[in-house]
Amino acid sequence: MLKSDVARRHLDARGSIVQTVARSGNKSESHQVGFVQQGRKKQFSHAQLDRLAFCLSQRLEAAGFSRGDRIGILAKNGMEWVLLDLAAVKAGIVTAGFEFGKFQSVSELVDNYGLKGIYADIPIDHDTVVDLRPFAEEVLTQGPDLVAIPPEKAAGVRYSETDCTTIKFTSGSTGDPKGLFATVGSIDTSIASVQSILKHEASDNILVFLPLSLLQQRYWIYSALTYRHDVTVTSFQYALAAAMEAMPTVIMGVPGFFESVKKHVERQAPEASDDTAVRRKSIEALLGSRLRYLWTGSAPASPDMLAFYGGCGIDIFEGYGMNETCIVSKNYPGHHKPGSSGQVLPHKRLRIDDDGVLIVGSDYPVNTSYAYCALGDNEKIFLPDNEVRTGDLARIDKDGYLYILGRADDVVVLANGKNVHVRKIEEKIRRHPGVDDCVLFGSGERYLVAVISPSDALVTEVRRQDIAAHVRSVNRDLPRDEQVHKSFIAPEAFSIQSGLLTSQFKPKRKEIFRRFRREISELYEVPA
Amino acid sequence: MTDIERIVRERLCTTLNRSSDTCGLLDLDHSLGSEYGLSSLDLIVLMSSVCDEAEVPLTALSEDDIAALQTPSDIVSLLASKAP
Repeated sequence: MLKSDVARRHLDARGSIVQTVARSGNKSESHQVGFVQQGRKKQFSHAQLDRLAFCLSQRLEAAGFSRGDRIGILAKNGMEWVLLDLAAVKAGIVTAGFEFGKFQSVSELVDNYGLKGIYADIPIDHDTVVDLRPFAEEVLTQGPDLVAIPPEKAAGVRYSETDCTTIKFTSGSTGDPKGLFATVGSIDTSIASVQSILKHEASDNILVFLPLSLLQQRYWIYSALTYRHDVTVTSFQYALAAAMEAMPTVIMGVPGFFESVKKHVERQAPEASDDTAVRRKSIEALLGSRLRYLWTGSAPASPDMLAFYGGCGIDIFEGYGMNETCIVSKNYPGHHKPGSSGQVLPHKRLRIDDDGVLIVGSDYPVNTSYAYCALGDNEKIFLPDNEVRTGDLARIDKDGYLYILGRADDVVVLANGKNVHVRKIEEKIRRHPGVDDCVLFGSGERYLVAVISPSDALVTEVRRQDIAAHVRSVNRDLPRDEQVHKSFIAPEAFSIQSGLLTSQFKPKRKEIFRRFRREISELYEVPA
Repeated sequence: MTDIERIVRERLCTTLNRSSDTCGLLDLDHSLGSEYGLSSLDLIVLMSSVCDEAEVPLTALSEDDIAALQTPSDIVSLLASKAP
């Protein structure tokens, strides 16, 4: 049976997943959605959460919200976020989830995106938008046990596969984020496809700590309600506390998170580098002892990191996707090639264009254009026949596994016209224990230079020379134009707080260049 | 030295993989990031263990409070304000 048939069967058997969420009642009394957030640890059964969301949807409708209205959520991860999202799905209200910490004011968001209501963890500086906080607080205070769902209201709104439930925003580092409406068809098939290969079941508990403003994080709530498994929602700051509390079987994190766990474990027991049992215990001391697999994606994972977890007997599955395509490929048990992004999922098609760029086609596209973007952005990304030009350089091996080679825009064009794909060189430099991150520059210049984010707080002269020797050793295997001629070690590690990493721990190339422009230019002052 | 300061010193020593007899030498006004080299995850690990021993639930601290911690002294002050 083809994988697409399996995913289709998942949908056929259960109906639309979004529709399952929209429909009130018939949710599990024995499975939980847990929340670990400031001042509160709370668990609701699926049925309780469903009743609360139903109640909130009724409150919103009574206050004049109706199908197609839009609400914004600019908040830390928590039960209010989840409740509002579920209530919106039940009532046909479109959500716009904004990255918390990125916006200092809601006024512009309300006006730009036509929001009728907003739930915000910052003061609301808009005269007419409805503050949704009292609605959520009232429902939570009342609790789920007194809520009855009248049979005539249980169905919720009816969705077709081209209806949209939410606006997805890109997490670009500069300028206004691009936004597109996500179709029900894309949400349904993405979740069903993941379920068809990873088979989450009653004993699973998935830990969610990345921002709920990312739709794929909310997928786990929809998946839990549909396929009846547990899920625990928290924020990054409480992720480890929540892991100890909930003992998750699945943790979804960016590679940077799992890299940090690896480095911490290595530092705590440097003498145990060959003792995988000791290392596994150290990992379990941080992430819990029930791990079935770790889910990662959204940035390249280093081979060392993948080997570290694999060596300890913990599966870590990379995947690939982007806002405009949703999830495209995924490794999974029995179908796993470390370093690849896995095989293509049902309802997706892959091809590589003449420039080496990955093109993804979908039977159920997220959408066929941005609703919010700069002039010309749509034409760069969206192609006819429901295809998306990803901008990622890729190859597909004979077994159908996808390998991402770097961003097309990670190509540095040297003064001699030579195009250099810097991502793979950066990854090699990053393998040194003293290097936390590395970004190469050289557009229009004679040679490449590196800006290195150090792992150590104090970079000793010995360490500095060791890193330089490592860069030289990397160079030995590279053609001259791909060699890194000079390096600069930043005074401290790149971080989200310093503005040099995105919220998904990716280096912000333009910002790093801007911050160290003088030092970079000095690297070109003396001929190499 | 208060109990909380002792806990912070001992746990920071462990996080930094330093010998416990050097705890008293740690400068509590050094930067956790640029001088002690802690990543954001290291800080979360440190805070989890400090909170455990000080019997202050980590969730009694706000995400903003945790994100704003710059030095070990900041941790001592924050914990002192929440300790039972």
